[in-house]
Amino acid sequence: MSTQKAPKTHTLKNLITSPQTLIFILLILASLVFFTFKTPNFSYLKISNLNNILTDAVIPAIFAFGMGIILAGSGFDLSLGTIASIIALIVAYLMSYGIGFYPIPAILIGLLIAAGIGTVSGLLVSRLGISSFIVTLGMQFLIIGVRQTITGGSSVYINNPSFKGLASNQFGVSNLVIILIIVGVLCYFLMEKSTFGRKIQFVGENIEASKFMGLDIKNITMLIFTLGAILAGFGGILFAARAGAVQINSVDSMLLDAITIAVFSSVLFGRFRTIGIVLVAILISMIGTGMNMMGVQTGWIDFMKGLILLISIVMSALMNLPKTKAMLFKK
Amino acid sequence: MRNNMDKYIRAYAMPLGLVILAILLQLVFIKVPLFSGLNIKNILLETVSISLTALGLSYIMMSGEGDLSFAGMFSLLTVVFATVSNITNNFFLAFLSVAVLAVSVNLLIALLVTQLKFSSFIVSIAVMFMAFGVEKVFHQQTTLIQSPAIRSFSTIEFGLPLVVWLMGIAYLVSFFVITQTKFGFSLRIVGENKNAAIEAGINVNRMKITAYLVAGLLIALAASIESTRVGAIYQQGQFYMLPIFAACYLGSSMFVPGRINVIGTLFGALFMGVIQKFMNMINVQSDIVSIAQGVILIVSVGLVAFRNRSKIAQIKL
Repeated sequence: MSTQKAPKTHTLKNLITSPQTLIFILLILASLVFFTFKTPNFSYLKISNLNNILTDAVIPAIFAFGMGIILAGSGFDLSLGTIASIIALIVAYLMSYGIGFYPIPAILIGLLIAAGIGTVSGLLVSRLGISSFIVTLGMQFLIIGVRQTITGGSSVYINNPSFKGLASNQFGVSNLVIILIIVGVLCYFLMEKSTFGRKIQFVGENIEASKFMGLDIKNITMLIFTLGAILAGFGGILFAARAGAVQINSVDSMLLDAITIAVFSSVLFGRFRTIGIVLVAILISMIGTGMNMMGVQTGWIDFMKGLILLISIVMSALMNLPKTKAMLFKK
Repeated sequence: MRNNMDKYIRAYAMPLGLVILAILLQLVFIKVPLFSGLNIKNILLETVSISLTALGLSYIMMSGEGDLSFAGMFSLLTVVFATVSNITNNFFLAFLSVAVLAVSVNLLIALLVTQLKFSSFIVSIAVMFMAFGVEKVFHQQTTLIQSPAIRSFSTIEFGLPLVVWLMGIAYLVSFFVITQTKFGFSLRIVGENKNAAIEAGINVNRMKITAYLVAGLLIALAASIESTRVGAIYQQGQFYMLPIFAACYLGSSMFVPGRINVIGTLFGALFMGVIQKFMNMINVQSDIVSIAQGVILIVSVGLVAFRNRSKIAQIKL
């Protein structure tokens, strides 16, 4: 008789041919064609420009991994941008002349502090049951106040060459791209292959059921905020390495990118999907760079990102994706 | 009897505590004239825009939804108001344009939330960022309103400034509507228990959309008042976000504990105003003010959540 079909596994082939991934690839190709014809001399298609686009996508993608993990556990974090800023400031300060830490201990201390901040938000959300919007909104303003008090509003410059090397270009592509691949693989195994990742998704999908299953919902909810803050802090550190100087609010605006990318990917896939986040990050970076080359004001680029966020929501509702409903749709 | 006592304590301990705290502040810092007549007038004047926006947000929260878009919209609206009034020199035209903009944006949010059933926070975050972007484009150094006639709107006085009277009227009407009319009752049911509201034959979507529209009008009024008082607040909108949220959540911890209520919101807004004024008067840096506001928000929400922790079955998004 007819042989039974083997159950679907996430091989590379399945990953590429899933309809959502195809949509993203089509969107990327469409914007590639659009901007190529819109920019003078087809300068959009130059290898150096494409390389820049890829590099620009790295830091937002790492932020979006953090936001995506939090979204997968049905939380939300408005403080990621400010966490990244303060961690970038701390790491830059630790390496400055007076103190002179080596890069690796400085980075580790920075990530530890990020984890601490995330854990505090996570504790408030999981132990007191306060809405995560409110907790992280309060946390955002706490951090804004603290960093202003500490620095007095001045910037910190980075002189450590090996730290700047994090963002240098040695193998034809920027080191940042290699870092993104490493972080992406880690996130892939953590969120899509490990039991812990499954638990997070399960808590996000149905908290009542997971309570009855005996999952430790409180600690899982707390840990998603810790993980999100660590990834955001790491994104801030990479930003500092790339920019060479840190102003007190230089990474704040990354929150918009993180939310747009993570929500876009999450609503289309209905869950955390590493490849989706990377593809959307590239798409957003392509649109941003393209509009910039066309001479559009930065305000409109921000507006566009918000609009993309809104469109992704409407799109997911119109396409009636079954898995999306459980996530993000309230009650 | 004991139960009754407990109920009163739960309802009135928080506001009493806040009043005592404010009086203590005055007694400790005896040299700072926190509660002189002139100062009280100033505090009221400065909290008008915050308390009006908080009132609008209360309507939305009463209907069981949330909103963050006002943070972006507020500063965008002040920029629009300043620009239009500088071009036309007409207060009502400027107010009309602001009101139309605010109401139509809120209508869009409400339609997305009610028809597509999507989380209102995420929709309003998208709108907030779009408003930040548009504001960046349209801000053409119009920080101050040129016409003295329009600027004088916030300084007209009948005993108290006219805008304070306006705020008082808005709160009185809202209090009456929410507690005494069928509309207010339905609105509270929708927020409290959506399924019960559907069973009772209430048009849930219409209630929610109405709440958003009222909030749009109130924020338009607040933004107009704020821009006649201090001009366009370019890129400062997010600093209005925290006191407004804190006012609503502080309010929900008093009078009707665990629920958003009109008098509580007013009380919360006034308390935030007093704290801000006090910190300005003893020359605390503005960044410490934002730390204090963040702590107040988390503590007040934590108090409410901690008291009702047995009822919390689900960790809310």
